[in-house]
Amino acid sequence: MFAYAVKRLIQMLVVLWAVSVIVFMMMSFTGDPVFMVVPIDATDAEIAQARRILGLDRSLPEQYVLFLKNLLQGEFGRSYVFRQPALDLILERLPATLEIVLVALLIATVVAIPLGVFAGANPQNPLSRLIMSGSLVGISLPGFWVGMMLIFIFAVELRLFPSSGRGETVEFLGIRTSLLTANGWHHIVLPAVTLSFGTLAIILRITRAGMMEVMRQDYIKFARAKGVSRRGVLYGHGLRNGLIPVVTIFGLQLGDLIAFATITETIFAWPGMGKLLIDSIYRADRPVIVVYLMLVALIFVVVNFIVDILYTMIDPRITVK
Amino acid sequence: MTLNLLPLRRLMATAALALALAAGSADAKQLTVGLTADAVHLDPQAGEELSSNIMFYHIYDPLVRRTADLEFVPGLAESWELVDDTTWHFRLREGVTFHNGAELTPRDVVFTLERLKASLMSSLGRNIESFSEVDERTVEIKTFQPYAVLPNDLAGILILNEAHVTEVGDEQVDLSPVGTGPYRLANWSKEDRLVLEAFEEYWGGKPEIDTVVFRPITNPATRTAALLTGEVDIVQDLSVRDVERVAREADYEVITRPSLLNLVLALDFRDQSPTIPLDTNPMQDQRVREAITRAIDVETIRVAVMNGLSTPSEQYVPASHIGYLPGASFREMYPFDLERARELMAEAGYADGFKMTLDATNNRYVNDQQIAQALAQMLSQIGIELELNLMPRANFFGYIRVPSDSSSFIMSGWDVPSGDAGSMYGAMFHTRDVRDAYGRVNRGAYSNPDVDALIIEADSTADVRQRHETLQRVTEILMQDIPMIPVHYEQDIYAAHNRVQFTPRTDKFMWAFEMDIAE
Amino acid sequence: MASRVLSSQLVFNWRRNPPAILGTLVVLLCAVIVIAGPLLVSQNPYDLRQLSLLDSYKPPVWLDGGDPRYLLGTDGQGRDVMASIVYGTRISAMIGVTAMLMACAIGTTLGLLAGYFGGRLDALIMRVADVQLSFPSMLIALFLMSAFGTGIDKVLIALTAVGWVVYARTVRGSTLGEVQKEYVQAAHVAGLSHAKIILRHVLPNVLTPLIVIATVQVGTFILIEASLSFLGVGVPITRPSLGLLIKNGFDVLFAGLWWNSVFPGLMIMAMVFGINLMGDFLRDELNPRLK
Repeated sequence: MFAYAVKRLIQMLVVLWAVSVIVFMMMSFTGDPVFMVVPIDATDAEIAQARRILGLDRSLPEQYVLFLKNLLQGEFGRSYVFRQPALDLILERLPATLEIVLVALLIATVVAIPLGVFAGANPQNPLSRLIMSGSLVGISLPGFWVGMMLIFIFAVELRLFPSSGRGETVEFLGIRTSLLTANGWHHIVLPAVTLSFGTLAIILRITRAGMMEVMRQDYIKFARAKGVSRRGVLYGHGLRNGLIPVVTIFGLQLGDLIAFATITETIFAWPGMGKLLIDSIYRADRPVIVVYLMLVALIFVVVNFIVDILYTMIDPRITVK
Repeated sequence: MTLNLLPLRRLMATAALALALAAGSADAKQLTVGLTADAVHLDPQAGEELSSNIMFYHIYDPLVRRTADLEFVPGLAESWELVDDTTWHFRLREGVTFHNGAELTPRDVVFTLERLKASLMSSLGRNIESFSEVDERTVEIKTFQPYAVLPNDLAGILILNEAHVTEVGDEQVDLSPVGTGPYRLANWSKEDRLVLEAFEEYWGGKPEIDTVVFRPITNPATRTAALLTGEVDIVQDLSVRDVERVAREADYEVITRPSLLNLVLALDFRDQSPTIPLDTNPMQDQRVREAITRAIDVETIRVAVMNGLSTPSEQYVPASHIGYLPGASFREMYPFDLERARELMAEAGYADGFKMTLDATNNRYVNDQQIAQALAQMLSQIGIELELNLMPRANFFGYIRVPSDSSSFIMSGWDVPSGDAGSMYGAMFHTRDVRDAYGRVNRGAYSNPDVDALIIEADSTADVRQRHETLQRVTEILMQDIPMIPVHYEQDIYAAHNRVQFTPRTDKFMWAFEMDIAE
Repeated sequence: MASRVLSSQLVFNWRRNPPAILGTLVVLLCAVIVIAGPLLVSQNPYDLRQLSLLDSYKPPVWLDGGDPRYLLGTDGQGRDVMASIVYGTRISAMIGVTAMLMACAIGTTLGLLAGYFGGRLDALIMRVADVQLSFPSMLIALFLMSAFGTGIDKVLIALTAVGWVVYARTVRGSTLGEVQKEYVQAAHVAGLSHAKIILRHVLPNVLTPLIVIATVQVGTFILIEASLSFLGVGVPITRPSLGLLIKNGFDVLFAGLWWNSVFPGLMIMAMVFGINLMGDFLRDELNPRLK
């Protein structure tokens, strides 16, 4: 177990290092960030001064070595645009992103699992077919289209929900969250629903597949033969085993949710780190992009590690190697 | 999508109204503003874009204030005088205090200018050679050469408090600013809201509106939605297509004002042009340049692309500016006329036209990509096959930068908030690479010795009237030569709830100090 | 022989599966649009000379002010929305299919090599795959586009870079299984070259699971491309895909000009829905575990 954790840790460090190199290399293709900072008619001297202030007067390899050196001292680089530490900028916006991601995941789970269990347990039922086709529509829709339609119908036409922003926030354990105010929940509904669409469909389908698989197993047939009620079989035996694959997919879905949050945040003016990423891409703000990608990789690896551990706890047949 | 949701909506509106009444109208006036983006900086020497500029002028003051209509009036300096051709004395207003209680001194002004020179924004002080404290209320500023419009430049330099900056350090100045302005920062939750509160001891009197909340809403459609749902009271940059929609609502009004931003097309003058597959550059021929000008139907762009919300440009600068030549207009000299344009192309030997590429942005100017497409449509009528090379702004300005080695035809915007054509002419039309600080944005490598001489003449007089006349002569020559085709001025479009009293400013910097809310 | 049995079984099951039939019909319809599209509409929306700004924002023909020349209305450049959708569908589908084929070719090759030869090559390829799998595809594509700049060719590169991993992993897994089998061992003994063994014996046996992956991936790619275009880093506006059409339509949605975003939205949904219905059917049929 310990050896496994160490191995994963090393893997993670390799991943993070690779990310930093690739991002540094790639970003040299984009526009020169200095032109985002100086006025259009800047003189050569003014441009040189700006380069010096931003640390762009060195060659790319030199900049990278400097970046690594700073990294070892816990310095993640400074945004060219904001002139603030890139990590601070991102951490400041992280809670807002986690909020919609978690609420979206919650919505997806609460809706998808019952529907998936039903469809898996009754594959021939017409309602199951409807559920399955509906879930396919969920995967087939572009998220931004859904978001705009929701704003159009529920914010502009019906005026049921606000169209944008995060609403009131309160400080809780040192983190600003909008999940503790009614106004905050009112704001989070539309973006979280938009974001949950794809994940909902995927969890539903995995749940169904898991259930179908389990229902074919001999022990279920035995249980039925022994006279355990259908309902008892379904929830007592089937559900627990059927949900094992769903746990794994959580880890993967979290990554996708964070990725698609960039679009949702842009549409709903949600003050999260995804919107910061998009803005930074438009502004060629390399330090922010590097740190963002490293952080996402970190979250992803950690979550999948936890998922692996959970997996062994739910399913005793599997041990981590 | 003509859903009939009206009855439901009425119900909701009634409910909302009841709620608002129950909450009671507090004495404190609050205004919520929907901006296109969050401020990036609160340190005016760390960078600038529109949202930050809006905050700067709430929090800080300049020595010379630019009014809504581009006049230059006393700000922190109550008066100024020209001591000799290059030396100015600025006398500071008495009894001005910073938000931290400190009193404004000449030392703060000197500190501000020193810090500016070493900062990213050093271009703001480009024409200033030196500065010093003369006595406890006077600052002396020297320019490199006679420079008649120094006060206009100073309207862009905001005064910092020396003690505060030295104490908290550069990084914190960006987060917890201290100025002399009518508002001070109450709370800034990045990308969500920036809250300003009135500064009671403001030297210009206490502001009418007590609290101003700025909310960044980048997506234009969402911004319109936020206004219509009552989440914000006023929005900036209403999408041109949403104008009718908002105007239909009884409680809202759309407010427009021609902006200073002139959309211009730069033509290449070099012997060979990077994207034209010919041995010669057809655009060196004045007839071809005229033909292009005549083939562009600015009026149709205004109606069909801009939804009527643009003002076709007469010249390179608007009528309010030094250097504007009354009575002269591109639209009258070269009106839209395809017949004549085709004749000119034939006379120049290009009856079959030629191919070239237009470089333009896709997220910088209002409807920029639509305009670029319209231009391609129009120029195809005279045989010019226009490829479009559209880029986000992050790539664009580096790509087209002088020496512009890959560009033949560039669409970009230029605005001159200083109210003077000189800086634009010097940067865009003076021959490249012969004098430092001149011709830096001359992307088409236009060169005319008469223009060069006149620009230098204008820049070496301290007399504003003489500068005006000299620059007018430059305008006259340029309109013959057509180094650039001005297309139109965008309109700044705002939409607000009826109870907001708001007059837009020429420089687009929304300023709550000039606004009020009806009870 | 085995494949004949499989395909007749496939056809039999297909006939009794209405969603599969629907999916196939939708995909065929899209194929017709892609192949014969230009013949179906009178206007070429890319030829700016055919457009007139004066015809901009005409509503669909059944509404007041509709123009019989433009069944589904026009956009801000006076472009026929139906023609735009037909050409946009071609772009979207072309990007989805081409990127899938490229990703499949590269991924399969690398997977075969990794699984067959093992050793350092295997370790290297799988490590790269691991690194890449720590990121959601959408983020990788977004990042690559921002680094390379916009354009159809760059979208293809970005999607290929995102998509190859899944093939490489699957193929490597199946190859590892095949290599153990007796017939491969026998081929070795018979002195066949590596290339021949891989191409003649291993490859045909690892392809089946890829069919499902490939089908679903086309749909995913179409949606990712749409998202990239929505964020302004996808295809150029002069050759808009369905995603870019929707984005441009949104700018005028609240102004009541809904036909510019709703119709392309329905088209992309129909196309991806059809592809996914087919993918579902194929998964059930070709993946015996779930049958």
